[in-house]
Amino acid sequence: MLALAYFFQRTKVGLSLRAVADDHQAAISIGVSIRTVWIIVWSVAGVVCLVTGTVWGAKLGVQPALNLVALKAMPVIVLGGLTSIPGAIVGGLIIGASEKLFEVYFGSIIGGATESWVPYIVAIAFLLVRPAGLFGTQDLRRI
Amino acid sequence: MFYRAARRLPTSYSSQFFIIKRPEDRILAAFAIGLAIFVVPHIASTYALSTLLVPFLIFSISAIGLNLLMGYAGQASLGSGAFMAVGAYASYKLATNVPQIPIVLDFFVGGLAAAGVGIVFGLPSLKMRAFYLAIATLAVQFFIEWLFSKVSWFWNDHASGVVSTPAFSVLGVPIDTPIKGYYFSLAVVTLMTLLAVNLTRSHIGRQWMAVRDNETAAQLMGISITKAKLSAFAISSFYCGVAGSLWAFVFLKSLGITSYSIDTSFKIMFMIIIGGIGTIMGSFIGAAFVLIVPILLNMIPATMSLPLSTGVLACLEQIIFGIFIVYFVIVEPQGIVRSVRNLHLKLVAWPLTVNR
Repeated sequence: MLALAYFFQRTKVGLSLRAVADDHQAAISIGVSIRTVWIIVWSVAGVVCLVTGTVWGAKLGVQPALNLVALKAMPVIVLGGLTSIPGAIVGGLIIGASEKLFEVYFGSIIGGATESWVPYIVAIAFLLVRPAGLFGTQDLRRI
Repeated sequence: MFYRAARRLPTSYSSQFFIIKRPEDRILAAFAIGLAIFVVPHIASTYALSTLLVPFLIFSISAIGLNLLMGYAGQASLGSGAFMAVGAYASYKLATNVPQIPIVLDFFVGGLAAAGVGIVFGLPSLKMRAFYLAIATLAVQFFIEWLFSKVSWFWNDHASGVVSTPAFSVLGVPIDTPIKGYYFSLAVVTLMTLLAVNLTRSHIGRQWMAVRDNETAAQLMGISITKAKLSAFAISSFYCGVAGSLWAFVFLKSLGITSYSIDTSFKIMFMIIIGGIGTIMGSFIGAAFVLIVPILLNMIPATMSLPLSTGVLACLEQIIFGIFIVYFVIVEPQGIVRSVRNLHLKLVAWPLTVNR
């Protein structure tokens, strides 16, 4: 994770990725190869997900329903803020802890199996206060 | 040839308000409606009616609903399945506890209930946009799924989670055979489509489009963002709710939360993306594509008598369908409706060519 954070924040490749995310046209005009960037982005994403899948599978068992885990990654990243690796870690911890704590303390009162929706509610609650997530950069809106 | 483009000027103000402007197109539309009413139910087998046409009609309602929200108002939503469930359960509750109310009213109330839930869960849209909003609507999806699988009050405390819906009749005619179900759904679809088309041409639809294209600019023009977004959520959910009730009462004749899962939401989203975002016709084309292609794919190995097990078949079907989706999104990013429109433009201009 540290390596990833360093990769995205400091290296030349990481900078070009962020440039593309910010503005395609501007990135092309300063000589960033969009094609290379897409290849790098998708392969890095694939590798990271592969690691997640392996660890998750080793701990909790492999099944096709793992794709629901991928959906759960979405509240995590929006809570932590897009464009932020530390955000993803902190978001993951908050979401993971809150869903389990809620299940343990309140789940039995209202029927259990609340893990399916609590992460999303937590994410909404956070986003209502901080629309860009915990560590995300607030975008300016232009006409 | 068929179309006449020259000297077609409006002669009255009211003629400028026609939904279909060209008289030739009106003939085509009348032909299509006649086909749907008089020909299709008689040549289609009972099997095709009940497994293909009725789901197609019902899903096109919810696709129109999502299209109003996503295509016209620009608010991404992954909660359409949940709104369908709300509509279905609300009409089920009403139909079983107060059976003297006419069923059409039940469906209407189901839609209203879904609209209420839609407004509540549309509130985050006031602060979030695009990707963030999609996450917020995922919350509805999972929360509603959980709610309707845990609180047995919603299905009258039956032992199993799947209950059968009561038989019902509309205007004294019992809707029990696939043909009657088809006609009933067709009537509802026609009504809802007319409503949707007129909505998108009215001030509400224009407000939605203004908000979609540029929120700040819309606000500067004096459009209430709150009203526009919430009304989009309400009306979209209303459509989904009605579709959900029909799905339970007309198609499945039973009610269980599994038929309104996240997969349904994704399916509806695929429909409008493939068919064409921001067009009513695209909802129909998309619904037809998403529902019919898997069935066709299923039939191919059988006709070629390939020795494949059903498990392999199901996986193959998904893979090929996925390839189709990617292909269409790459070739026609604006949806299949774009190709249809291009063809139409060519027809109108024939024998000249369209210059673009």
